[in-house]
Amino acid sequence: MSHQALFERLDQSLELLSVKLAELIKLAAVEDSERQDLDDNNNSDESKIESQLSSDLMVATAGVSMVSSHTPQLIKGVQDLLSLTRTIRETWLLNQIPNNSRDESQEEAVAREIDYDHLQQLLDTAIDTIVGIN
Amino acid sequence: MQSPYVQERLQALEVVDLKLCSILQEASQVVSTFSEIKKGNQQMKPQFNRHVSQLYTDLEFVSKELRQEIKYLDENMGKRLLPINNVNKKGIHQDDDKLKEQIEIMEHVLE
Repeated sequence: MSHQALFERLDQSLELLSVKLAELIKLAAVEDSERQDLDDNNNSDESKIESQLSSDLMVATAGVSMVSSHTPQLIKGVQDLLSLTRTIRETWLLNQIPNNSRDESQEEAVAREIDYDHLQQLLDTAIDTIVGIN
Repeated sequence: MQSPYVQERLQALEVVDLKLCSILQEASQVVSTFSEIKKGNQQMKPQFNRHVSQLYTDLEFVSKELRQEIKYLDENMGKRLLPINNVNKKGIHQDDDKLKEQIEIMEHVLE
């Protein structure tokens, strides 16, 4: 049996994370080039500067909305990876083949056994001394 | 107590978890430096670059480690692990341990 499903989950999450990151960085690059254009046009007439400003504002707004839509997806990607590590950990802890050495140590098993007669005695004494019947 | 090999695996997974948390941290730094840059604070650019590269480094580490861990799972199928999923196992020893603890307390009280 292989863990193909786990590999697929890992690939999916990693792809999501790297794509979202790349988009975020691309967005930053767009912002910078826009700003550069604006700086270049600083010496031209004022109306042009104004239109550049408004377009810059639009790009900035779009950028903010893009960022706020990308960040939850980044977080979700990381959450997926965390749940993946949890699945692997559960597999290690719950699907273990019982170790023989544990069964061999008879003394340990005896020590684990609960002495029910002793418990009964204790309970009787407790009833006698605390509750005070008899 | 788990065997040393299993403990090693669990520790490796813990390191991966910590890295994932630091990825979140870096992502938040990336977004905050990004918004600073957009406010016109161009001095943040090197920081932005640094956080982005750190994020990719962490992502690469996590990817490598998780692939390795899944491979270890495959390798140990049938040796240390049962080849089935969703074993419905209950921690039955805990009840006995608790009962023993209570018996000890009772002995102490009755002395």
